[in-house]
Amino acid sequence: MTRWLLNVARPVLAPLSISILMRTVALVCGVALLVVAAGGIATALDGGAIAPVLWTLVAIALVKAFARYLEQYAGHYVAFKALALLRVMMFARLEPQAPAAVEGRRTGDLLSRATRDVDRVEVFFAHTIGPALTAVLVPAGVGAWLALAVSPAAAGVAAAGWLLMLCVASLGARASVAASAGLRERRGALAQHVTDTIQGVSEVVAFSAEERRLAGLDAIGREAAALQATRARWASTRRGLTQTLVVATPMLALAAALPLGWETAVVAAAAVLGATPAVVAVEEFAAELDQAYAAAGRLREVMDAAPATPEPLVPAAAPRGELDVALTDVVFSYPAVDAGDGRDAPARPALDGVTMTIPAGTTTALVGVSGAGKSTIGALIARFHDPGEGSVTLGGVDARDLADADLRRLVSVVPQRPYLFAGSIRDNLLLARPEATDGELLAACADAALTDTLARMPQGLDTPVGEHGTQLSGGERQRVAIARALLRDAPVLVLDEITSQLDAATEAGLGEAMRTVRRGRAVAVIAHRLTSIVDADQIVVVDAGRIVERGTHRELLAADGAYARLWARQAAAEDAAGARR
Amino acid sequence: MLTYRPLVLGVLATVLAALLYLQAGRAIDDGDAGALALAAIGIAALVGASSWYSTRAASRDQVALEGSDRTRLVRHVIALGPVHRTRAQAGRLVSTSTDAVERSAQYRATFLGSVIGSLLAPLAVVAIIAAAIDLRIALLLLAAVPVVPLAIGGFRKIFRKVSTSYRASARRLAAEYLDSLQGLPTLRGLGAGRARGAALAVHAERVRADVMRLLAGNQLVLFVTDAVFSLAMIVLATGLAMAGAAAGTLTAGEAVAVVLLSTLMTEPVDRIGQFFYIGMGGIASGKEIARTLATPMPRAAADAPEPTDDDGSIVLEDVTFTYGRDASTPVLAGFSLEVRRGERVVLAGRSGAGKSTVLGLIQGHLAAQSGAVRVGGHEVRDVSPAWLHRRLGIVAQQTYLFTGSLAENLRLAAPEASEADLWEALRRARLEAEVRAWPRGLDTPVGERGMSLSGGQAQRVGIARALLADAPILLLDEPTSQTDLDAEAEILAAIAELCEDRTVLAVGHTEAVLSSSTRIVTVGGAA
Repeated sequence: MTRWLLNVARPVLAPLSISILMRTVALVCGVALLVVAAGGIATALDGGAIAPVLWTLVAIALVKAFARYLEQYAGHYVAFKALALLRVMMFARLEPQAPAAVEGRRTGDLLSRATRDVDRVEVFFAHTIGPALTAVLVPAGVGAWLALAVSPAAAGVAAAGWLLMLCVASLGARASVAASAGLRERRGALAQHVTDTIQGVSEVVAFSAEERRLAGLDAIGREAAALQATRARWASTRRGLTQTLVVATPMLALAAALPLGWETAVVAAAAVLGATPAVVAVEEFAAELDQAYAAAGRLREVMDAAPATPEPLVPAAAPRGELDVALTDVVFSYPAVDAGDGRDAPARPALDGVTMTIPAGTTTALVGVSGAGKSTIGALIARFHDPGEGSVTLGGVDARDLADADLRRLVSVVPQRPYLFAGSIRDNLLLARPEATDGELLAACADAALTDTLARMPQGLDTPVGEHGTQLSGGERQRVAIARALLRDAPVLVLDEITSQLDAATEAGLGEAMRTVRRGRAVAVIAHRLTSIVDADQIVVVDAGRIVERGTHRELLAADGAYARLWARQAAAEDAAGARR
Repeated sequence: MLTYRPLVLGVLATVLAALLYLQAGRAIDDGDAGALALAAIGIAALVGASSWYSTRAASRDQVALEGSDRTRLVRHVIALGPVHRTRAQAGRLVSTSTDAVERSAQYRATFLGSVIGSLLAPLAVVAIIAAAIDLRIALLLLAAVPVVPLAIGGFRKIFRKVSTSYRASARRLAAEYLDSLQGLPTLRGLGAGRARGAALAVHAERVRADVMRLLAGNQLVLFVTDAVFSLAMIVLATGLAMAGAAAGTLTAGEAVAVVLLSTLMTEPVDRIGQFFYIGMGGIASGKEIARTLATPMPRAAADAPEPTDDDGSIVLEDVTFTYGRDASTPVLAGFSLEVRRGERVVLAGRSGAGKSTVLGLIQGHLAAQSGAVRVGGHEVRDVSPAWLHRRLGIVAQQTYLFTGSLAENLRLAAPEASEADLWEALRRARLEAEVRAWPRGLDTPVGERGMSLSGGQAQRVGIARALLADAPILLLDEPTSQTDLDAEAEILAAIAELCEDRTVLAVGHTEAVLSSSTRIVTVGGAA
């Protein structure tokens, strides 16, 4: 793990040598400060001048502080550079794993890896490498000087004390690492339990299960506490033994050198006292290092994960012009999740034998209850996943044979909750086509029924959208996303319809925008409100991962089957949404 | 809130070390190395034992504080009841109940006490110098002692500004990154991932340069404190010791002891840096917890009385209810409804007419501005929620499944239910055959980390729960509006069975209930 981290950060490691050098200087100054002060007593007793000693002390203190400053600055410089590098690398490795990796259940975990775990690695770069090296270098140097120039006996005592401190620092390392890993897992379980209680609070209240939920939480808390206690047992043992050695070593060195005269003995003791912090640092960072290594391990896991959709070895030529989209006998299951007991939870196929075609230039609406599999069909058309069995073809070419860059040019996606980045409307539109002119941007906005909205904004295209686009309404966000998709000008469009209720005017505008968008494209609309897709060329009813019906609105209503039942349900569902608002 | 052991033991360790340094001075004067070695071993062992005990005690306190804070928060959240929250709000609540609780406990248990201890330690050292060596030196050093906390206070003011903008920059860096990660699916859908990655790298670099500039200022503060305290303490002490030795008022041993003792007085300096990193985080977490606990609770207290009689009815009398403060457009205005024991009533009405509001009022999740809401003949807000919920069973639009096994999810409704009871409930909920086919049966993990059940399966788990809870009144809140079409018939059959021998109030077109219901009540004008 150390090697991996150093490898990652290699391009920015050079200033670390300055940090280590300055740390050495600061520590040596710490030794010198005490040695000069102790030596000064003998000078004063002999009637020597006091002032030069004090000025020397002032000089040493200033050099020490300055060296410490440079040490910290250079160390943090490397650490922040390395973290930035890690973040950029992580983003690059995650991009081909998206959206599978950042959607659904794993989002929280992944985001915490990408942010908190990256931060934890800081300890390694800023507070580990330097202290580890100087913990050996400084005591070795001071020890050698003591042995050769001051008192071999004191040097022997100091060497023994320092070696013991290093041994103590590694006491219970394995048990602590195991406990840390377990603790993190239990903390995850605690967070999950709290999440459940918050999201399922209706059930908790309805079944008067408050005390039982709290007891369950407490049980997990106690397991975490037991692991914490294991860690604390070792940490306090190490701390106790280290403190014993820290206090005893300098005074034992003094006692050992006393037969050589008190002047010599005092210098020896001061040197040992001054050098000891260099060794103690190991015990201090060792505890943090556990966490940093564990964090690095989790980062590595994510960065080494295979992309959800591998690039073909020999990409096929991308089809041109308008094209058909076809799914043939598609079976697809989402990857299994760990059930928390080391076993994978059984997965239910999200799609089971789906065959359908969206002819070029037509619109197909996918309808069904939530969880039926309609969004999954959209995700497969956009090749966010590959089917387990069967195939998805674009213009007759298997999506798996297309280079990712080509595929992205062919398929454009408007998600249900379009993500807008903090920045202006213009910034968000330019993401789709960085070289677009203002004229093109405005044309796309016109097609997306955004012109009136923009006219109402004093800053127009430069209006900031706020964090996650929260300055805009849901309908406005959706239309910005549509304008963005129009700028892409891809022959295939996957449009996940917005679910929340919009006012009538917005809905009418949005309907108009949708009709513009559909022209000349193969469009899959994932429909949540049936009223908005009655004019689709084809309506496909998905239920429990299978296609149960297909036809036009009129045909399906006449058939009085699944679609007709959904149509009947719709009124009730919208009713409820209205009441809850 | 502060735990005192790290404080007391921290001062004790300093006092012990000071005594050892005095002994060192004595050894220098009388040349008795043996006595010093013995004292060193003895006192070091005591210091070690004290810091062993202190670390251990702090860790235990931390665990205890963490547990009690967590329980208090979650209890509060449950008491707030089913309040609508955005995903972000729910996420923040989870992080307050886990991360913030952990950090605040760490701050209070392990950090605060030892910081105060290290600020008090110099006073103990001064007292020892006064008693054992020289009063005048002690007084001069004492004059320098307040410099430490004063300087910390002063620097805190300067530092707060630097630190605030430093943290703001660091947060901006993190937010930018988070923004890109969360938007990754969108970026990929637009084929803009790589370009955004490059832009992000440039931007991150700019913010990093910012952070470094601020860090330069931040570290400057540490530079000054470090230099000042090394000077103030060690140089002052050495100067006084040398002068004393030259004048003959101090023996060599006493003079050396003063220099050694001064090293104990620089201890607070080492804590300053930590204070801003661990300390500020801990204080902020504590405030976050307090804010959450301060959210007022709308629900009745849990210690309200349990009625002994129950007439099995639901009555709403002249009820007016408004969401928020806008009293001009009440959802319900003068609404009345009576459902007698054994009756079946379906609430009809257009979208937004207040059907779900009626169910919320009956369950006590909402409080009417005026009028009476009675269950079993008792005003809902005056009875214990536990009693109320034993009377009411509910099958809602969606059934929430908790992380854990299917059996645990069913026992939420009836903790004492035997395995046979569970199978019987599953049979009547029309889910038995499917569960028998699962390799782990009742032990199958469900919920977020478990098997993904279809909407229809989850709904039948909800019905099985209602069967196990066996409440006399059943509320149906559009139980089939979100379920798979092919499971609809089975769910309706299961609901029909659930309705037998119960008082039923239903919302939505639940045919099974409609066919045998006695009455349809329209909410808010024509349906």
